[in-house]
Amino acid sequence: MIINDNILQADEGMTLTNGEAFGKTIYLGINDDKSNWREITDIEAEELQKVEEELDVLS
Amino acid sequence: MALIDKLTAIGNAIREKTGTTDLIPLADMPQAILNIEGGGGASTGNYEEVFNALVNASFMNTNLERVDFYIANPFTSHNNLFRNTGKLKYIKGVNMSKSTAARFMFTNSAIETIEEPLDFSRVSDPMNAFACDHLTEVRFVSGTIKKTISFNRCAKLSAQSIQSIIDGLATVTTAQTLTLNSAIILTDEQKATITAKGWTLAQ
Repeated sequence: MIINDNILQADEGMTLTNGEAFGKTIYLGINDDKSNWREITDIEAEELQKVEEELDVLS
Repeated sequence: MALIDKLTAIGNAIREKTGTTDLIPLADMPQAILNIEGGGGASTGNYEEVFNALVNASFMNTNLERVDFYIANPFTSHNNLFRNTGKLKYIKGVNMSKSTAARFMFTNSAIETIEEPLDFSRVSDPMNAFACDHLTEVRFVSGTIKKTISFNRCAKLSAQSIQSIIDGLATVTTAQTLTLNSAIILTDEQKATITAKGWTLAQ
């Protein structure tokens, strides 16, 4: 992950997430902190988003 | 919205179209709607599909291509309302002013145009409301989006729609995240506006 001021950039093949949102580039808002974001692989990101959707159908 | 309220709304719509004031027995509603010349009503599609959608407050999995709300539709939940509507391209008049929920509202919908601004001021969980690929035109009431929301799959949003989304963000005091598709190009001014309102932008 590359950090430039309030901008976080995921490494190739990786996605940044705060557990709820996902993205390759993150522009931190004034209420946010880089410690809230972590890198996961693109595959993990896809799976997490798919699981959330499927769980919602069941709920 | 209670079932009786939904049925009353349908009855009111029929009476408005037919110019009558009489109560309409539920069993007579199908024929009363079919007798209305020129359609109107709530949607484009066959009667049974529209009727069931209204009664269940859900258009999920229907084959409707267009929905025009001519009747009151102040649903308090829009969860899954238009989910998996693979042919739905246009909606007009959806009223979200009393809605508190919009999870997966348009997930896997073919929606392209949502006419008239959406009021998200009471929606507590809009995160995946717009998980759809073809959305081009959408407008929000200014300052009404208060919780994390994603347009990650919406690569075709018009410039006016993007600006309306940004204008639709309320100023927040806890971290919220706006996700836009990576194909969307924002100006530095737009990015600064988003982050200054307390939102994190993810692309």
